[in-house]
Amino acid sequence: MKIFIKYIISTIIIVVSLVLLLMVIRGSKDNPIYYQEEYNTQIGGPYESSGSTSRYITTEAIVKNITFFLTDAEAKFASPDVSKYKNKYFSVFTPGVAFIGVPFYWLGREMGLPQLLTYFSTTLIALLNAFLIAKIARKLGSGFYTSLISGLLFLFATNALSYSLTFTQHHASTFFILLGILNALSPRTLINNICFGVIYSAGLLMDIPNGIIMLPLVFYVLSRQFDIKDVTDKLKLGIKLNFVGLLIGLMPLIALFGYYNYQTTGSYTTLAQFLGRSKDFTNDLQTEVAFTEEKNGISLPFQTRVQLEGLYIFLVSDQRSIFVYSPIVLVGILGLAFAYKLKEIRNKTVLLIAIILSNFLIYTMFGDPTGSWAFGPRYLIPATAILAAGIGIVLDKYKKKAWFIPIFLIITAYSIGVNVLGAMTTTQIPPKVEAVNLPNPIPYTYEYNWQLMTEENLNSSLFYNLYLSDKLTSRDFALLYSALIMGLILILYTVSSFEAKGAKE
Amino acid sequence: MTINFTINKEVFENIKKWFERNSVSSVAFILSFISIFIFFYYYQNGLGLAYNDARSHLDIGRRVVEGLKPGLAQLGSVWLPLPHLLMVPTIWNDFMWHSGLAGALQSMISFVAICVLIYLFLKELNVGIVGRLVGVAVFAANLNTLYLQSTAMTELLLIVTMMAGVYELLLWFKSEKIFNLIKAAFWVMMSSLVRYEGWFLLFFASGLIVFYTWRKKGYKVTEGTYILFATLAAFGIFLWFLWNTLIFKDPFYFAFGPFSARAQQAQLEHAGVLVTKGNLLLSMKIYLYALVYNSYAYNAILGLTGALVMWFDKNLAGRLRWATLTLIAPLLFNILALYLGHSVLFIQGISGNTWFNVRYGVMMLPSIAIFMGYLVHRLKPLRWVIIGLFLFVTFFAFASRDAVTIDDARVGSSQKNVSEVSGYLKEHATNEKGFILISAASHDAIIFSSGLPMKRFIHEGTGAYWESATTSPDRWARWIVARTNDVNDLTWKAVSVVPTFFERYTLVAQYPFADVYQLNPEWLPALQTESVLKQRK
Repeated sequence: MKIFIKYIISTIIIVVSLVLLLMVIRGSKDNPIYYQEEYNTQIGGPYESSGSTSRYITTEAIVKNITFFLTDAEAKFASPDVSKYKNKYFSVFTPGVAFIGVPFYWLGREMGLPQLLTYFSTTLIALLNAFLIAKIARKLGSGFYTSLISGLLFLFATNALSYSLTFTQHHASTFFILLGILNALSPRTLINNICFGVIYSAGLLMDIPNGIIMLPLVFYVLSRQFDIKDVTDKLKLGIKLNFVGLLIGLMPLIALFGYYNYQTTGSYTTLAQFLGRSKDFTNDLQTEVAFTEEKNGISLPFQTRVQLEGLYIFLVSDQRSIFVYSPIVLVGILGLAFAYKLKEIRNKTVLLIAIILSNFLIYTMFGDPTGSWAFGPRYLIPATAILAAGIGIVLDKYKKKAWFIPIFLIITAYSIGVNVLGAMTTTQIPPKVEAVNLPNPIPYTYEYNWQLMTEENLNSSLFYNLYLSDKLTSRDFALLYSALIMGLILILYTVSSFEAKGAKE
Repeated sequence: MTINFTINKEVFENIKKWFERNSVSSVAFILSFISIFIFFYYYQNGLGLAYNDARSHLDIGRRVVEGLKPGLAQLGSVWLPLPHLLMVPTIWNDFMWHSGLAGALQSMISFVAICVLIYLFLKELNVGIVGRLVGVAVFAANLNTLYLQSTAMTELLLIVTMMAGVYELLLWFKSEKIFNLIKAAFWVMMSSLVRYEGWFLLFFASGLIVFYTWRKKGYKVTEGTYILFATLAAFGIFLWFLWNTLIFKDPFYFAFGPFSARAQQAQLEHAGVLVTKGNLLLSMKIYLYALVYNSYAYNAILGLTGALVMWFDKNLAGRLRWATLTLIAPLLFNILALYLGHSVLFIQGISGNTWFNVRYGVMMLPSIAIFMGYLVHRLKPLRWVIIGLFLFVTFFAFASRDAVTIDDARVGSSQKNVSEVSGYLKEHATNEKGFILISAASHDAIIFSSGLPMKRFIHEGTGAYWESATTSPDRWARWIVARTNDVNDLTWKAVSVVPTFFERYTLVAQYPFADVYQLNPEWLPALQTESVLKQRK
């Protein structure tokens, strides 16, 4: 009976979360709906970032023209995130996200809503991520309701919300990393090994750094193929032969990746990134300089020299710091620290810490850790997801403490507020160095989103633009929406108080 | 399906025992090969001599054994003498001089010895083999140390003497054996003859010894212990004062003389670039940047964490925790020196668009290595995560060729591309007779890069030659190398006031760092081309 109730509650939460996400999906009023045929890259729209357009147009090319290559007009739409080889244009990104979008685009085209449906694939994955986080939190010993709170806080109180409305790699990468974690923690059967191979290669297909971020999982899974037993004066070493499953699982998607590379760059192993961005559609002097440098050979985008700046950007700066944009994550860090102290789940916690640090370290070494024009630390979304799993542990420990409740609620409200602001306006906030040097300088923090919302009454939500724009101001809608999320969290928090501390699955 | 193997435990035990027994020699052996390989790498690409100071160090060593006025007096007062004294046995050889190997050799030996000391230090702290090897790897797998060990710079010699002193001090804190204290004093003395950081270590270590002994054994024992330590440890400083008194007639010549660091800092202050003076926060910021750039951010952060874990670890005896405080002496010294204006360090992006002396940050690297080794030891569950991420960061450090010391040497204020002017001298003076008048204080790099023997140059250290040549240049100097119109160039300052200089010399070449004047042919018959003043002072 208890399990049945939990299923019911889970389903309700899924539906409510989906409705909440649908309320912020981007779009504008038109007949039928703007952006389905209009390629307008205006701020606040779904095409505001080339990170999305480059992938979207690839999906469109695959469905419409059965090709990975882009026409001149499509390449211009995708620029500057477009590469050129033998006079043919294609996306500079790995093709995973575009591939995922294919069935959604096809369905959307049938319904006359190709953009909405294609972008919805990311929204759906974001929702799945919230529940994968809840699952991981459960594995760390969190209660049922506090685990759900963990997942929802990731979805609505971090910049994951803003990026769930784009057609970028962040949620897809997070999805495969979280799946990888759950798989790695499962028994090492042949099927699980095959699945892990598929998950890892799918992660690579979404974004190359996932290959590094997921390395701790690879080592963990490999280490579990061995079994060492101490038998009196001898050591018995067992090697499970089902590790072959890992290779079997890897092959299909790696082959697909190789085929895609061969078709676009002429080599199975050369990525579009290695060719650099085409400068055919840009007159920007700075970009030209960068391209000239790229011609001198492939250079790794990760440099230890910039790590200090990366640390500053991610931890301290008001530009992108995880603590400025989503301080709720601090609670997650505390949660993982508590989990680390528990011997029975220490191995799992160490694995999670390893993935978080891999994600964090690799992007502190990235040439531009700000993520260029972005909202919050977008590269850290996978790490944020894992950290969010730690929130449930803290809630279980302190949820009834009088001193904890106001602190938690204030941090939650702030985090939700900031990220709703980002979701309802734009993800295109320039890094400080660019913002202050623009002909008309603009803020380089979420203050810019606030300006757009309050001074220009901008709201990118399709729901708002269709039904509420003549009834509510953009700011009032954002407040109402934040209150709904806060209400959902409060309900779960209250219910969780009646659940036994750290109830196991 | 599972394949099973059975291995005798004894095999593992034997391997472990063998490694425990031979670990120090194995570390030294492997690192010796790495050291030699890396030296040749930087020798072949020419970077080994990129630092202007490296060439100057080699020239000082060479002048002791060759030149118009060879002898120990050539050690001068600009730098402390030990690095140059250690070059003497090999610098007479032209290859050893011009390849930089005479100076690099001591850096290479120091590099290996530092790694061994890190290993032994961690062993004394009861750190297991993995932690010890991680400590060694943090120091050795760093492009900055690998580069500096291939040059004739003094950093690694300083580090090894300081580390040896700190290590012996740790042993003394642990066992209270007087012999360890004497050995610590010896190494501190040696470090005090390499650079002034060694002097600070002496004061810092003295403070710790006094504090510890007083608390534990009272005043009388403290007095005796301290005198024993300080007599030997401060002997190097005493010798340096004595040297300055005997050679320059002023015990403080090194500190206040015209070539002292203070004089250079005064020039920088006048130019408005000594910004750290009187600004503690900026001093800390600048040095911490240098430290992070030299050690890589990941290592620096874990090093700091390791230090905190070590100092608050109740499993580690209190006296040992006291002893490990000496590991932060270089940090305190460098911040203090910047704050007091005794040192200058430029970080690109903070101090304009250049680097200068950023290599000072490498001084903390052995400490970071020890702290990190300790952290790996203490955080057993996270051990492989820390090691994995260390390997990951190190891979990218090597892949992106992240060596701030090379940038400092090549593009920062420490570099001096004198190939044009030295090339001119090489081309025109090699097969011709006649001396070259030049200020070694300003243009040692030109002397070095010309490839000419030291005895072809008349410089400030050549006594009567210098006095004669600066008053009657046309009798002694066929070529004069100087920065035209720069009175800080001692050659120009002297010859520009000689009435016949402009009439008898022609400016034959102009370059960014110096110009070359040549004696007009009609005055050649009266020119002295032999070293006839050997017997004179």
